[in-house]
Amino acid sequence: MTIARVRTESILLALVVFEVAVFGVFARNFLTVRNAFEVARLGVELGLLAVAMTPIVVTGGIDLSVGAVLGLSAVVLGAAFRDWHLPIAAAIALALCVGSACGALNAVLIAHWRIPPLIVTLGSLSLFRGIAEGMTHAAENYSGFPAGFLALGQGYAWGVVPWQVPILVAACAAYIVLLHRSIVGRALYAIGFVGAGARYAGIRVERRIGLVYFLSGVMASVAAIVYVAHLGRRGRMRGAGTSSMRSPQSCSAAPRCSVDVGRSGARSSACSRSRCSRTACIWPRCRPSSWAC
Amino acid sequence: MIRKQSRERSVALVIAVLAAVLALTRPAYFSAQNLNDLVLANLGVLTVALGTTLVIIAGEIDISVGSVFAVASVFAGAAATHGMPIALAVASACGVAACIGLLNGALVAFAGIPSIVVTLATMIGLRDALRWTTQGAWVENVPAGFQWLGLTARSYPMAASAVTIALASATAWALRYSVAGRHVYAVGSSADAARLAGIDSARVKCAVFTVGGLLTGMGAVLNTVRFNQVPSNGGLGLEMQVIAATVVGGAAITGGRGTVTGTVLGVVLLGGIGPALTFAGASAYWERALQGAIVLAAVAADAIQARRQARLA
Repeated sequence: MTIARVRTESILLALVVFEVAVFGVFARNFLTVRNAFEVARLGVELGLLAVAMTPIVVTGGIDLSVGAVLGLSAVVLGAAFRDWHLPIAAAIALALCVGSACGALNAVLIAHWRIPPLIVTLGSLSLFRGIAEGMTHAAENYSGFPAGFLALGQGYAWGVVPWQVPILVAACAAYIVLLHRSIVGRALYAIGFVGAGARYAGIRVERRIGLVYFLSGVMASVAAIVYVAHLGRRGRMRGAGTSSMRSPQSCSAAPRCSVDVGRSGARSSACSRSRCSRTACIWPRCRPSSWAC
Repeated sequence: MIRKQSRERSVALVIAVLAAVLALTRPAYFSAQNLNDLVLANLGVLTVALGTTLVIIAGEIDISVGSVFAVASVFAGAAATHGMPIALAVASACGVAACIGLLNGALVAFAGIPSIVVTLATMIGLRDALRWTTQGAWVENVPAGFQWLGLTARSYPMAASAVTIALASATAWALRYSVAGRHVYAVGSSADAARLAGIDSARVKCAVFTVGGLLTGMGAVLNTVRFNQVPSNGGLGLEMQVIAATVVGGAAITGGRGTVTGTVLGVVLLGGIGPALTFAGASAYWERALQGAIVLAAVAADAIQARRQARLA
């Protein structure tokens, strides 16, 4: 188990090093500090979703609805600020509430009612994205956010570090503690190993499983806030394009690793890294919005 | 068994109530033209859903059907345009789809990779390969006999409906009465138990993916010949649509349970609800939210019923 884990992660690390080396040699201006931070900026939203997906995959579940939660939270944030004339702080709080509510819905259906996560999140994916579509008629764009808010996604701390990168780092740190340094984390591994056994061992399986789906919803709305600040305007299309299949897929293909997978897995090698090294293409744009599901 | 039938009955009841309300308030919904459009739009979906039903009953999942659908459509159109006889073009498109299904099935059954991972890979791979080869262009200038398969706009819906009904009946019969069909249920209930009972579980799984691919190809053909050009991005989101319909129809995503009748009812309910929204004057953009709510309600109803039965027992 430990051996397999180390191996998967070292292979991924080797791939990243190889990738960086190849592009460092062949692409001009790739191997610079500035570009490294730009690439990091582009990975934050995906990273947040993938980090939150990790404990879910550890328990043997999946959350297909994260992209839809991100889209819905982003739309609510935009609508709250522009159409309902709320101050930006209240709009952010509302977006977080939406994410929490979405996560709670998944959590209740999966943990309490014991419905398979695949089908629950498939249904809630349609529901959340459908609500976003219904609210915006798939055509609305929101803009005119205050500069202070946009700095979160477009500005730099100390002149070099994009503001959202510390958010991802903090989220990673929190999830590392949760998964590897806490009783809850050990319980999650036990549940993923044998759910019934964990129950007999006195673990509150329902609560633990509910928690990870709830947190996934919360993190998706955090990602939505970063996302809105990053693009500086946002309509339904962008959120819808953040294909939910991507992060679960990268995680489930190599469940051993969280952040590395989200950023160095299939998507970024195919998409962000290669393209972003040359153009200003950001990852949601690499796929047409209606693409994956 | 009792639960299975009661699910079908409740979906049928919901459809009946919806139909009654629509008939009273929006009689135009039942105009010949609208029904014709509805049937044409959903025949392909139903055919694909038949295959998905098989795969889900066997305890697996296939999310590549949307991409396979697009590949088969474009293949049929391109082959016909390049001078292949239309019957042959259509048949080989189905063959291509069946081969992709076979590939999925082999990877799942013999290489032991989880079906969601395998079909996610083929879903993305095929979609990107198609985009690469077509460069996003639609297939145009298809020969005259391609649209409606040489029939007329009037006779084609009849013929296509007949074909779909025949396919659905054959699938229903095979699932219920044939040895192979019973094996699908057995494998879906418990692959290990099935193996111990002498069933070659791997072969059954491989077979359901292959048949699923074939049915997806047929659905693609039925859908594509409605027009005289073939979009290169067809079938987007189709996998979600058919899985939703199958689950609403009472199939258990964990395998071992599900019927063709349920799937047909699921397709009718989910396919009919969108246009009904438009007729009711609501924005069609809420269709997806409503479909999601229906899926969640269906599975929640299942869970509540299961809990009640567990309490009784």
